[in-house]
Amino acid sequence: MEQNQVPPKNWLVESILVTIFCCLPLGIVGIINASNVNTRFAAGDYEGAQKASQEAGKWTKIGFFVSLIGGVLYLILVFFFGVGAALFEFL
Amino acid sequence: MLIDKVFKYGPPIIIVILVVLYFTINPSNSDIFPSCPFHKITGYYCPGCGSQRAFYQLLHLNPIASLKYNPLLIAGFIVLIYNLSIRLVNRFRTKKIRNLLHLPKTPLIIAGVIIVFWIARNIDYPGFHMLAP
Repeated sequence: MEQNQVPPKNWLVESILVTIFCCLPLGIVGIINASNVNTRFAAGDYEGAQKASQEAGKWTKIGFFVSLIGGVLYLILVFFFGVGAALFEFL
Repeated sequence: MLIDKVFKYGPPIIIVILVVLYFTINPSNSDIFPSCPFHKITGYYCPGCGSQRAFYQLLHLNPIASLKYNPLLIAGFIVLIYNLSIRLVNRFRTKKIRNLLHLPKTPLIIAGVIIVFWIARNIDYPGFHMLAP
């Protein structure tokens, strides 16, 4: 492995934040994928690490947007229809 | 790609809005924050349960109350700050400091801690109740 090669973004911190704030198993999928990035890079498999990095990024982004959309929908329900709390009571 | 642009500029804007929101409104006595769907459906706590109340407490400089609602929130921020500092310092150095987050085992250990915490905070036994929000 070349010493000056930069490891690809592993999305670890982002996945942790998604796990804690968005309360979604998708964050954990992101963390596991981050581990793939690190393992492949440490093994000198730079291309594999980059592929794993894309995969990790994909899951982290999905988790982020799913919860963002969920949060926005919830706020719309609360503010425009006043049913947010009632809806959750219903579940 | 549009989605990459949204991911680049969206978070800073969202973070500012959320900080203002969580500073001004206490999630404990308000309906405008969504409660955890996992908790509503299953009745069990997820690893993120309590993080909104914990964030409110942290913004009001009550770290103990924050830890009681969700210790992972402060732990997560420590990891975030660690990562940003290492990246900032390495920008000015030719000999790079090793970032522990890039070691092969680190993500697995973190995932393990989160999963153990997830199980532990749902155990209905006196000592474990303090982990529930």
